Amino acid sequence: MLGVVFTEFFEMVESKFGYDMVDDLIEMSTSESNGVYTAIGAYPHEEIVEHVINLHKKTEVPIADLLRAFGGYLHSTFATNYSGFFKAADNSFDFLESIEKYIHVEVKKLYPNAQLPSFSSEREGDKVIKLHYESERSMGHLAYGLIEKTMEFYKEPAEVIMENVTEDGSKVTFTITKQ
Amino acid sequence: MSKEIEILKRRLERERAARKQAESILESKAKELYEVNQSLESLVKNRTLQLRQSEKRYRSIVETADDIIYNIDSNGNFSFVNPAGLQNTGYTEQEIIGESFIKVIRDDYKEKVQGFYLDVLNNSKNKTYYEFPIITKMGTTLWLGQNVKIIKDEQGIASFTVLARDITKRKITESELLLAQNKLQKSELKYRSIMENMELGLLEVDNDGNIIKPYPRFCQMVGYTEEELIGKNAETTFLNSEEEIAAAKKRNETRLENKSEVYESKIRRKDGSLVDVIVSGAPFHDPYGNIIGSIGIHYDNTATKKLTAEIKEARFIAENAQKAEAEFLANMSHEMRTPLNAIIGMSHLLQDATLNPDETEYLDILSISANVLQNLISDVLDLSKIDAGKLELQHKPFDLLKLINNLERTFALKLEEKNVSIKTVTNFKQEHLLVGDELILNQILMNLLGNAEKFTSHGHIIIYLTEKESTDKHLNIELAVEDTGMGMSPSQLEKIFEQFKQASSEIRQEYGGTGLGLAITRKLIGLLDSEIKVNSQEGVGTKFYFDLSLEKTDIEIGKVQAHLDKKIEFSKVDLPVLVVEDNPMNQKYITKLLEKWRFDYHLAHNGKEGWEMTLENKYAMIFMDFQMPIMNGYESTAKIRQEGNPNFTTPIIALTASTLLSKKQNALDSGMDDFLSKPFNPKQLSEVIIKHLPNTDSTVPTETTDQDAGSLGAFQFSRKLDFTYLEENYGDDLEYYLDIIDTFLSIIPSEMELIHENSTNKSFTEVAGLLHKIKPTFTMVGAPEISKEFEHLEKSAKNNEESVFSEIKTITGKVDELISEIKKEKGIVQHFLTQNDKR
Repeated sequence: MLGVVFTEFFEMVESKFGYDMVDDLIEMSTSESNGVYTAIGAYPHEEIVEHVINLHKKTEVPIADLLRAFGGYLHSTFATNYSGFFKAADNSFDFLESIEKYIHVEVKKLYPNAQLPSFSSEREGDKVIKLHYESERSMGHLAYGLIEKTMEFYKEPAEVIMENVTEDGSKVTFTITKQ
Repeated sequence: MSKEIEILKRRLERERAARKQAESILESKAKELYEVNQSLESLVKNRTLQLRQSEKRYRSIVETADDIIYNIDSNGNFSFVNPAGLQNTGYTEQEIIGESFIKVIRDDYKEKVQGFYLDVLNNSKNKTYYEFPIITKMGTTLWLGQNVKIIKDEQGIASFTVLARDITKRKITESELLLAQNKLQKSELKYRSIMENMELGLLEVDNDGNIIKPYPRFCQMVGYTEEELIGKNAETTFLNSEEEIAAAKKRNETRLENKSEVYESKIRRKDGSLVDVIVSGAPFHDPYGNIIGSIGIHYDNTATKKLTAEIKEARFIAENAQKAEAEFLANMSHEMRTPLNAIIGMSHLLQDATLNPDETEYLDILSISANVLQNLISDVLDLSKIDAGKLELQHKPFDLLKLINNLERTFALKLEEKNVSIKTVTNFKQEHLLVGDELILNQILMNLLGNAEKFTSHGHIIIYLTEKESTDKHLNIELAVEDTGMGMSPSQLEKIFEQFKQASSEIRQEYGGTGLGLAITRKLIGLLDSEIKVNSQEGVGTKFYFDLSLEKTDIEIGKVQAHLDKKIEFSKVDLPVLVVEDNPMNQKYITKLLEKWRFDYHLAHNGKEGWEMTLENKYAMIFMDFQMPIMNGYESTAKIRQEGNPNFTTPIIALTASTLLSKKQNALDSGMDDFLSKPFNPKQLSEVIIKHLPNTDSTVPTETTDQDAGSLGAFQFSRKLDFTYLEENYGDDLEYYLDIIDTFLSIIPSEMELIHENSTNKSFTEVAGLLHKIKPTFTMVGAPEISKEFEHLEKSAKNNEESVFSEIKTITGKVDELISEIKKEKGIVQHFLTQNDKR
C-alpha cells in the first residue's frame, strides 16, 4: 500500500487524537515497518488494517466510520496535492468516470508496483451514476468517504448509497444520485 | 515528563528513520532515472541517425527520380522543385522558386487546373490526379499528369507536395490518334455520303447474311424501313428463287476467303416487284482483321436493263432493215445490169465483125455509152458499198491510155453542142498493160470530167496524164482534169467533198445533181491509196488532180488480142463446156466467144435443166448464172455437187451481176469454184478458163522461156565499175540497165552545172541540197565511192565549211571520168542487145 495512505492516516490520528495515540498505535503494532513510513514508500496492506483495528479498539469508533472518515480526510489531501486531476473534469460524474480511465493510469506510471482497486462506471440518465468497486482489500468505506467529499468538492449535493455485492466487501456498488 | 520525552524520542527516531528511508528511496529512484535517461539518450541518438539515413534516402529518391516532384507553398508559389522538374521545365532553381505555380500553366488550362484543385481542397476529395499542359522556359508545351498531397497546418492553410510525370508523348500520340480517327471517320463519312448521293444502296450483313445496317438509299430501293430490315436475313428477304439463294450461299463462302466480286442479281422489293441490281460485295473486318460480315453496294440497274433491251430490239430492226436494203440494192442491180450486159456484150461481138471506120466509131461510142450508163447506175450503189467497206478492189490488167482516150471521145461527143473543147495532154508512152481497178479509175475520171463538163460553158477541158516515175515494175502518174469553168471560192472549196453538199444552193438549182459525185470520187481515190487535190479560182477555172501508183504487167499493148487468141486456139479440150443461163442475149454473148475459141458447149436455160444435163454428160467446165427461173444457180450447184454426179468435181464458175462480196461468198459456199462479174470482157473470160483448165494453157510459151533460150547471161559489166552490184541488179534486165544509164547521162551534167553555179555564189544550203539529191545516183551506176564522197561533201556544206567549194572542183574531175566510162558502157550494152535481138 502506498506510503501516502499511512502518512495521511497518522496525520489524521495525530490531528484528532494527538501524537500519544499515534505512538500507542505504533507501539501496539507488530509490523516490520515499526511506524517508520514515508509518502514515497510502499508498505504491506496488513499494516494499515492492523492500525485501523487498533484505533477502533482504543476509541471504540466503528471501523466503517473510521475508514469513511479517513476517506474524507484523504480527499482533501488529494484535492490539494493533485489538483490537476480535479481541474481536468468539469463535474463530479466526469471525474468519477476518469478515476479508472485516467487517474489510475497515471498513478501506475509513478508507482508501477501499486495495487489499485478497479472502478467501472455506468450512467443512468443525467442524474444517476453507478460505480462498481472491486478490491481484495475490501476498503469500500474508504471509497465511500472519498466519493462523498468529491460530490461536496464539485458542489453537487447528492445521495450516495453503498451496497455490498459480496459479503466480504470485495465488490461494492455505489449509486450516486444528484439532488 | 519522561513519558513525553520517551514519546518524543521515539517520534524523532521514527522521523529520522523515515527520512533516511525516503532518502534511500530517492537515491535509488534517482539512479533509476539516470539509467533510464542514459538509455533514452542512446535511443534518441539511434533514432536521429535512422531519421537522417531515411531522410537521405528520400532525398536521393526525390533528386534522382525521373518523375517531377515539387512543393507549392500556401501562397501558391513553388517552394521546392526536384532536378527532374528543373530539367524538364528548363528553369533553374533560382528562377522558379518563389514563382507562382499558375504562371507556368498553359493559358487555356489555367482556370481548369485551378478549378480542379479548388474542388479537391474544398470538398476533401481523394482523387487528386489531373493532366494539363505547362509552358517550359523554352516555350514548348509539356504535359504533366500529377498526384497531389495536401498538407494543412494548424491554421488549416494548405500547401502541396506534388508528384508529376511527363506525359507529353502519350498526349501527342493520343491527339494524333484522335486526329487520325477523326480523319478516318470523316473520310468514311465522306465516302458513304458520296455513295449515298450516287444512288448506290449500301447494305451491311453479318457472316450469316443477317442484316446489320441498311443505308437509307438501299431502304428506298427495296421499299422497307431501316427498322424492318435490321436482323432479317438478306437472302431470304430479297432473293426470289432457291437457285439464287444457293448462289448467294456460295458467294458467302468466297467472301470468307476474303474475296470481293461484282455480280448481277434481281432483288425483291417489299411490294413483291423485282429490281435489277448490280452488286459489288466485299468482306469487312473487325479491328483484329477477322471477317465479320460483308458490305454490298447495290446499283439499280433496271433502267439500264430496259435500255439494253430496247437497244437490242432497235438493232435487230435496223439490221433487218439494212439487210433488206442490201437485198433490194442487189436485186435492183441485177435487174438493171442484165439488159445492160446484153448491150455491152453485143457491142463486143460487133467489134469482131468487119465494119467500116464510121461504124467502128459508132460502135465504140455505143459501147462506151453503155458503160457510162452502167457506171451511173452504180454511182449510188458504190457510195453505199464504199461506206459499208464492201467494195472489192479489182487488180486486173488494163489499158490506161485507151481508157483515157475513150473518156475523151465520150465527152467530146457530149461537148460538141457546147463551145468547149476537150483534149488529153500526156508525156506517157505506154508499152505494157497496167494492173489496177479500171472500173474505179474510170468512174473517178467520169465524175471529174462530168463535173468539168457541167460547170464549163466555154473554153476547154484538159485531161493531164503525167508520168512522174517509172521502173520496170511500177509506174507513178499524176492524173488531172482541168477546166475553164466558173471556179470556186476558198469557202466553197471546203465543202465540195462532203456528202450531199454542193458549192452553193444556187448550183443545185441551176445544175442539179445529188451532191454525191465529188464525195464518191474522193472516197474512190482514197480506196486507191491516194488523195484528191483541187486548185480553183472563181471565174477562171478548176483543176482536180491526184497521184496514182500502178503496177506494170509484162503484157504488151497491141499483142493482147493475138496473145489471147493464140492461147485458146492451142487448147485441146476433149470435153464440152456447159452454159447454164436463162437470158438469151447473155447466152449468145458467151456462146459466141466459146465458139470463137473452138470450145464445144451445151446450153441449159435454167438450173434444173442444167443439173439434168450434168447427169448425162461429163463437162470440162460449167458456167452458171445465179438468178434463173425454175431452179436458181445455188440449188443447181448443190445438186451437181451431190455424190454420184459425173460432174461432182467439175469446176463451176458463177456468172453474177452482183457486186456484193456476200453474194460471191454465197457462191463459193454453195460449192462453186469461182465467179465472174457481169459484164465481163473476153479477156476476163479467157483468164478464168485458163485458171480452171490448166491444160489449155500448157502450150503457151512465156517470155521467160524466150529469155532462157537466149544468151543474155554472158554480158560482161565493166570492171571499172562495181560489177558485182550491177550484175545483181541488172544481170537479167539489160534494158532496165540501159534506162538507168540514159537517166544518169541526162541528169548528171546539168546537175553538176548547178552545183558549180551555187558553189561560185557560195550558197551552202543550195549546194548541200543538190549534193543530197544526186548522191544515190552514182551507186546505181556502179560508182558507190563517189556517192560516199558526195555524202562527205554534203556534211561539209551543211556545216558551212569553206573547204567544200575547192573539194567540189576536185570531185568534178572524177565525175567527168565516170561519165565517159558510163558512155562507153552504154555503147557496149546497146551492141550486146542488138546482137541478141538478131539471134
